[in-house]
Amino acid sequence: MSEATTYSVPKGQTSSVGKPPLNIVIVGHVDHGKSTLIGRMLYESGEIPEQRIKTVKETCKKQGKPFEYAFFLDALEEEQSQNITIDTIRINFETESRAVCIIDAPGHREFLKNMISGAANASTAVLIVDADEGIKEQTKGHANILAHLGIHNIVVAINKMDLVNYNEKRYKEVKKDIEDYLGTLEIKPLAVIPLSAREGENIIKKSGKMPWNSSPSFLEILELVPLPEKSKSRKLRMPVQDVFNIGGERIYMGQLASGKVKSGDRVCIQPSGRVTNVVKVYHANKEVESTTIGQATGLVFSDKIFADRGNVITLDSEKAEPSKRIVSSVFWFDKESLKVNHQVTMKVSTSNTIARVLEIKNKLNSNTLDVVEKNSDHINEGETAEILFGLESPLFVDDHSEISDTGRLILQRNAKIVGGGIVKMTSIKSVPTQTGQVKIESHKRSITKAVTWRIIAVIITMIVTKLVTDNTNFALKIGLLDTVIKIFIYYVHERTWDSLHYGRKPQEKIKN
Amino acid sequence: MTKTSAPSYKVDTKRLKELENESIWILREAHRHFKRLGMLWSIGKDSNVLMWLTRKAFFNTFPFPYVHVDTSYKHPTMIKFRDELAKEYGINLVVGGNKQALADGMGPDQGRLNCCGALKTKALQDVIEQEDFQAVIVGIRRDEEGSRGKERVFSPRGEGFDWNYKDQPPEFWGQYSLPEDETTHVRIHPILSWTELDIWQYIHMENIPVCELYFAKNGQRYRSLGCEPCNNTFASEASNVDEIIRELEITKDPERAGRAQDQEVAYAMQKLRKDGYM
Repeated sequence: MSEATTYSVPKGQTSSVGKPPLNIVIVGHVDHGKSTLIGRMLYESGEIPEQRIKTVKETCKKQGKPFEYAFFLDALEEEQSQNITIDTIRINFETESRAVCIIDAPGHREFLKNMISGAANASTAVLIVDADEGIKEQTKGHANILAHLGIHNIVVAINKMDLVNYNEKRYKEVKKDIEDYLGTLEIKPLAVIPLSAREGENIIKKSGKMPWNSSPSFLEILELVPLPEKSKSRKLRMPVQDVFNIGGERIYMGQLASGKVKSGDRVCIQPSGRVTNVVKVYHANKEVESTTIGQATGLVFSDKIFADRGNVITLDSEKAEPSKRIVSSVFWFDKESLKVNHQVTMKVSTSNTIARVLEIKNKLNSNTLDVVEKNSDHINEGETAEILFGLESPLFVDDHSEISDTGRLILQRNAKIVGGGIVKMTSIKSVPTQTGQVKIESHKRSITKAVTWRIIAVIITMIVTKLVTDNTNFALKIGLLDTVIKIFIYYVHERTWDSLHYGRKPQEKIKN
Repeated sequence: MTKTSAPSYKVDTKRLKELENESIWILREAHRHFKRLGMLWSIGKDSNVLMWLTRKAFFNTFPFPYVHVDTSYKHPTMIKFRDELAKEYGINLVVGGNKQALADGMGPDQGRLNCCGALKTKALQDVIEQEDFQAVIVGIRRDEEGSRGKERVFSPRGEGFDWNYKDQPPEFWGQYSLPEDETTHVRIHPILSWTELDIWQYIHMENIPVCELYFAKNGQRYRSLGCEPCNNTFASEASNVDEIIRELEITKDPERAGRAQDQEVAYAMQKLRKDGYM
């Protein structure tokens, strides 16, 4: 293909020097063309060995089918004969500036756990929709799962534009439908692009058949989507994976989920709260000054302390507390439903505990996917909900929007993984429903607000008094009296207002 | 023993470092969860990268034995290289093999897939049973061939050692499924996400020893190492790691083109692997 040179690096040169990795998953309803899109793109790029193209040609001929681009991915015999994707696969591919790993996920409902196994590793998703068929059950189902996996970077690809004669009106109809649905999940797609995977239109470069289209081609999109961000926070989080005794040293091993650790740091072992000093840091088998997020780390401490798998290392200077109750956006894929009062094993990174289901709220029914049940006593296979868990022993977790690795959990029943979710709230008493959430101010907060306000106010009073009277002594006295009296009065004033509902509006939706 | 020259070729260290950290995580998970653990060592480039990663993960020690399934048809150069490496790094080497089948005259002339089944799959089963392994680490990669592309990092094997590729356990966020009752053992794949090019770039970056059969001699070299009768060379001038990397960037031939068993029948690898092949 002549287009290949426009985006792949000239061969024989230093190819992938420092290209940032990007994992993208392709999801959507069965037969809307996920595997075909990837197969077509690989074919156009010239990345597929000639031998492989020959094999696929022969297989298709034997099975009496036209050339099937999906066969570059669907390698299992059952997949090729039935034209379905059973399990996920990853394809590595390079664009001009990125090392892209494309994950193909199955669309059939019965393969939901395989779809999740693929999608959970991505930072961006391409949701594919058939232009002719429009939105179907798994279009909605997958979009909903993406939201619960914490994937918010979504590109919509409206495929099979050839079947609707590259019609702009039809594109706009499907675009509106999907944007409306994503809106209910609080997702705004990065782009909605029309294409035809089978015909190769708008895959590598803009299609001449759709002059009305102003959005980029599929390949251009891969260059434009934002790169992953593991942690928005700089706080240190090292879940302890194992402890190794070697050469008289006790080494606490783990991978940093967030932040940075260096020798000399004063650290806290969560959830016990014991404090010690880091005397040595290893990256893999080498001693180093410090390690950072993502690195395989080993730490040696100054004190003989008890710590093991499941503990989380944090910095002593950054206050952090374990949770006994958490709210999570959960997806469930076990045939047996999960009910209120059921117990499951909850794992967050290397730690785990028994968790009891206390409340199930805002459940999205998998059949309709439009109706939200505010309160429910169970959640079925393929459904999602916000669940309040009570934990048998406290776990150290983070809000997923802040730190992803310590903010996501898996649920197990009899050692089988049956669900997962992202942590939305830690240490709270009840799940807020989608309406009527009222934030109540604590006494501590009111007092703190009163004090900080007073400091600002008194400084102004003293400066003004000094300017007017030119008497420093007098200014200080006024300031002191002013502070003592008004702090008390402000506190009373604040608490009185807190008890009144006048002028208060209910909050519409839960924000992360 | 062939050592690679000091790196002069600039490689994608960011991707390689990420892969390295992920593989170390997997190796440490395997070691934490399974008391009776072994690593399958084929003496090829991939299992040598695994050996290197094991040293990194466990502070220059090898906390589990390395198992070589010897079909007796391996290149003598590979066996020599294996013994030298095991000695140099202090590796606890266990050599397995299907002696009965060999005594009965098993060889590729009895049908390639039969031969692989007896001398590799059956021999592997025997050694897993004999050593009572709960889990075996294997250096396969997704990009090698189609059915390996569908693998999990922790892949449970059922009765008769079969791989149930139609119903694999979910696996995400670095959380792996531990065996259920019907599992005989778990295959652990720490370098599943690496590509052939990643392997060679990493060998270059870390200066990892590899078998000299990979380097061109008289215009021919091996790209994937196996048993001598079923292993073909191809025309190449690449005589060091640097040149192999450059060659890989141009070639459009699949990695396992020189492995005869893959081409025996349609879906050959899927069939072999379903029954417990690596």
